[in-house]
Amino acid sequence: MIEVDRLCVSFAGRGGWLRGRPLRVVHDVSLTLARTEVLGLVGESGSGKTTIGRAILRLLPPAGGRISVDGKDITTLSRAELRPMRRQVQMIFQDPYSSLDPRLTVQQTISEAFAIHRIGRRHDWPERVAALLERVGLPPEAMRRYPHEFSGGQRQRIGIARALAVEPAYIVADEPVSALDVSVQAQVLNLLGDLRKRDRLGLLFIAHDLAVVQHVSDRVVVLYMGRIMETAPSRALYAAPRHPYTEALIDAAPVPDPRQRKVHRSLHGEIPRPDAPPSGCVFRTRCPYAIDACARIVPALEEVTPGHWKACIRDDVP
Amino acid sequence: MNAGETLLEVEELCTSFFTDEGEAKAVDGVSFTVRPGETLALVGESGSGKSVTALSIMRLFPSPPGRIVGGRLRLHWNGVVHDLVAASEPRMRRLRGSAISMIFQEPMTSLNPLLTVGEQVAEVLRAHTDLGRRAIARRTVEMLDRVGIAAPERRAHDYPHHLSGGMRQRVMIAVALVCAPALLIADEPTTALDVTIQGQVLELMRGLRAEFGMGLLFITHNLGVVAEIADRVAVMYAGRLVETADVLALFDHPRHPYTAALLRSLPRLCRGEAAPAGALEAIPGQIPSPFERPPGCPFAPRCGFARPRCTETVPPLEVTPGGQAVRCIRRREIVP
Repeated sequence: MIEVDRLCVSFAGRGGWLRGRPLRVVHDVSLTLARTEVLGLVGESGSGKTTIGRAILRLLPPAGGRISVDGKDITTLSRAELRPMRRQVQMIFQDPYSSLDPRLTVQQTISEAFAIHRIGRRHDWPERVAALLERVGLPPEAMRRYPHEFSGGQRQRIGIARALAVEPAYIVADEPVSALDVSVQAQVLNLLGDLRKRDRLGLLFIAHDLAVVQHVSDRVVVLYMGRIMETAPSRALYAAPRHPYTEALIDAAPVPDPRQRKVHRSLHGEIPRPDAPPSGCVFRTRCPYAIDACARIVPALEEVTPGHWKACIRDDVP
Repeated sequence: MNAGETLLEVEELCTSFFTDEGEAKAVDGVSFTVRPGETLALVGESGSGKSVTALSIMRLFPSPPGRIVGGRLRLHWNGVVHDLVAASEPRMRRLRGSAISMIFQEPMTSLNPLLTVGEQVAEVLRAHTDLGRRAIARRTVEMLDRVGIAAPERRAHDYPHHLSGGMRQRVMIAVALVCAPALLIADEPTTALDVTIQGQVLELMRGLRAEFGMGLLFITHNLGVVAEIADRVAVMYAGRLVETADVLALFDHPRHPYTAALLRSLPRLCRGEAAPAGALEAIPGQIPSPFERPPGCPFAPRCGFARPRCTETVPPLEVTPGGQAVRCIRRREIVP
């Protein structure tokens, strides 16, 4: 199991008036991901969803809190000590165009992972690559070709094959289908679903599209401005969201049915700047249910029904 | 159709790009009309030619390598029929901003970073009206207010980089609409926005279309957005139009196998206790490259209904009794 306990991540100011003032973008986020489980991490820009994914892989240093993988604390490990963890936890990126080295053939790209983690014997690698390609639905000839010879969907399959090369227990998938065309999105979503079942993988699925998240996730965490607003089993969350932000997100998602055309009135205003978050509940400036107390009290995550948590001081809404 | 009812006629439009790799037929025989006050959604995936169609109407594609190689574009405006294929560049400049405007996915690339947002709105008024300085300033602030920018007098002095993505999109809409064009072309205007902001911008565009009575050509890949905004829909695939229909008919009874397959492949948000289905009905295969389009129907290699004759000739666009136009030779056999 991956356990994240009160994770905080800050970015150093990059200059100008921000210089020297670290900007906190993830605040006290706790979550768990079991093997064979899909946890959806959903939020808009600035929600911290990508940052959390990168922090779990220690691609970013945490500013606070603790991350452990299968019981081993990895929060403060050095680069060398991290290597076994990197084999346990792999990542799939949003943009299959920039995440593959254009100068390497598919075989070289995947073999690189074998070399780093000293997997198998060199003369067995081509056979392993072919087997991996088959698992992601690509023909073995693909191994001799370069990334530019493939379409976006095929490149994402190559990215998935590379992640699977080291036989990880967990995969962090950061918006794996949002750069793909609609007609190939379903192919890649189905592939991820199959792999999770067949290979018993734990999947942290990061996305902004609520329909996509619902489709793949067992449980969902809803983030806003780096904080958890609500977390619940997928079915409970979509059937009866308990946080006003989750309700607003579900309401705002356009539905491919002109008979369900809606009037978008529920949410006014914009996401505040992260360096000037509102006092109390960070969502209160846009919340249709906000009361005076919301400006004073930072809401704690409270369990409303087993496994269903929300950070909102009002129990009577939505 | 009575010409008086038509705002834009696109007839057999062909736009190609001539590169070292050969001729890419980005748009290959596309026909549709837009009526005043109507929203036509032009839907397609990458390489479908939807954006090149829009840029051809605006005559804003890079040329060379791009060229309109065939077809007609007619804009009915102020009682005159304007031939947008033959129009000189100075004439196009007069039409852009006054008769037709366009907004883009990423406002930062079309707003001038060196001008305040007020200046960018005022610039359009100076180019296309005889208004004096004070009237221009007043009209600018009114327009910024109308698109939902709070404290418009103050905001008019801001530069684009001071604004959020949603606010920039509102500014771009103000720039596009300040001279009340008859036709607005919107190319993926909400795609780069967060979902809650997307809802606000769609709401704004619906309100403005009603208020200004303009025709709207709305280009998107998102079928949810189509369902929200369109009166009619034109579906493109690999440079060709495969189906046009009223929005309700398209979603209720898609007639082209591509449209039907696309709608079936979407993950849909399920509310209530209903759980989403297991595997999605994915469309197999890949979108063909514009340099290697398959012969005949471009969707045939991915189509569950394809027969050998589908790859022989390009099917004609046939109109059903219900007014739906479909480019599929098996149209009568495969749908009720």
